[in-house]
Amino acid sequence: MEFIIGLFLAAKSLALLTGIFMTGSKEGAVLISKPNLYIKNNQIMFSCETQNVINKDLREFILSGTPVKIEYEIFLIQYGRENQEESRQVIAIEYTVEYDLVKQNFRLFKNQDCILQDKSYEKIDGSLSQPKDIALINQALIESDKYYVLSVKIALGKIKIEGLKNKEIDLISFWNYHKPYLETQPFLGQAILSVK
Amino acid sequence: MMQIGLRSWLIGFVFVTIMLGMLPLSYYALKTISSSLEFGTQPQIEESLTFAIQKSTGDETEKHASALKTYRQRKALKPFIKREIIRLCLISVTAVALLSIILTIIFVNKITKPLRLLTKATDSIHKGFLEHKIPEQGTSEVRTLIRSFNDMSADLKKTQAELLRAERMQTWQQVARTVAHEIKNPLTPIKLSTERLFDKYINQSPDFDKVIKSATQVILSEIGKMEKLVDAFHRYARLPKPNLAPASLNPLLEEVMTLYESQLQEGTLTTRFAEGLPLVSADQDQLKQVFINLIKNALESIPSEKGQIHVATTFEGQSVVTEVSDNGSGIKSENISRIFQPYFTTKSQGNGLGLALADRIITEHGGQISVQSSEGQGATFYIKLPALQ
Repeated sequence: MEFIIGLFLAAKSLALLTGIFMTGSKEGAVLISKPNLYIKNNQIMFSCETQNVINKDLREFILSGTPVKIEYEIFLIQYGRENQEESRQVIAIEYTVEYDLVKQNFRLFKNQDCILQDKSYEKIDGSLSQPKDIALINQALIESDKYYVLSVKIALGKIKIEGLKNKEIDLISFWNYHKPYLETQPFLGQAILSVK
Repeated sequence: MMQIGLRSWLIGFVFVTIMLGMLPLSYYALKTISSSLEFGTQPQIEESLTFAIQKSTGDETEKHASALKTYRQRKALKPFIKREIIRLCLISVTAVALLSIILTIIFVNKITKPLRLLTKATDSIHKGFLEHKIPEQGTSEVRTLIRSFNDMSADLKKTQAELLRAERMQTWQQVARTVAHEIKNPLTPIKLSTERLFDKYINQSPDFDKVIKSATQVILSEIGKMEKLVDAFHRYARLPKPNLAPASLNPLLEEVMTLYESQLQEGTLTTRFAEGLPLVSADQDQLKQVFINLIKNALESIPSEKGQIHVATTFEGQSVVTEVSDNGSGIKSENISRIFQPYFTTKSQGNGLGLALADRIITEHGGQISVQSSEGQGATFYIKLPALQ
């Protein structure tokens, strides 16, 4: 088994170079859609929809009881005249999905806070596929005549696997080495402020 | 049938050998991997561990949970491990194949390069350029072969120089005989006319006036012929020293060819000029004279229908080579060695000095002129001039 793990890790180190050639199919790829900004308690909040974040293979891996971290990075970039970037707001949120082998239930954490606990996986999936109420910036900091671009990145973290003698692997391999990314067209600050 | 060279054979052979060697290795590796990945395919283990977790307490539960975690981790990661290993195998095979091709090409080039140089040198010698020397390289056997080849070409050059010297002597004897004969020919009518005049004068012949007129005409006509002969010989013998300056051959040839364009049907005169040809040190007027002579000879030799003249330039070694070839009547083998001799001609109208003049001009430019021909097969003239650095 040591030999196989060695081979696996050797192949994994080449994966970044070769992923482009070996992973042609985008079927089952993680998708981000419907990015949305809204105001809540004077804060500009973010929500979106995702698909295939927890695919069949990843779900099976979660069932091993290994906590799986899903990192969201949201960028709100403000542009001035002549398309000069003036400011950039970056918010990183980490969701963790964990399965308790003893209690046989799932738990979903947003950063350190447990936001959902259920026997059924479907609820966890539903919550993960519609991340919402992510506070980006104070409403007062938005300038109505400036342009903004919103972008979202999702990634899976690296993890040490006890079953592979504590070797670290990058869970992004479950997504076929694709890092989902979405970027909106530039829009006016006024458009954010007018949304209720 | 397509001919496959030694180089292609060797590359193909080494590549196929390496790939055939890789196949059983890859098969063995994949088989080993497949059997090693049996782990995680026994659902009863999973069921037992789950059951044990439910029924145990305290540390025992933790222990069973940890075992189940390990089992499920490996089970979940198995398809990835498999995929990644296949990926590694594919990359390895591709890398080995590419590397083997590159190494094979380098290795085979190392072997065949001296052979290719030898082939090129042999070709050069065949064209008459005997100074070709190959740098010694390759294996000891090939080095010996190259050394023998260089010795042979040096001997050939020496022999050729001796032959040329002897030939030149013979040529000048022949020239002297020809000139003497050509001068002697008009002397006879001059002598006869003078004797006739003297005879008529002594005998106070009544038609003396008439005879002096015709005799003078004959004498003057014969002297004119002698003058022409002496002039042509003078031109050949006292060719001015070339006024050398850097010159580009391609435009010079194009200039010469425009002189003949109007006389030729379309497609008769074709060219293939090498790009970026180095300059040569040349007297442009004299070189033009050489090219005019060669193209004129080719024109007189080709058939009126489907006649072809091809002019090409190439860069070989340190020399610029001009080729003028035609599909005309060619040169008889017994005449090839004599065509550059003065006063040698096979044409009824020629004075036999055109190619002799060309040979002298090219020699004085530090170059060489040679010909390849067989009767009825056309002729190709090669002019090799040293390229300027």
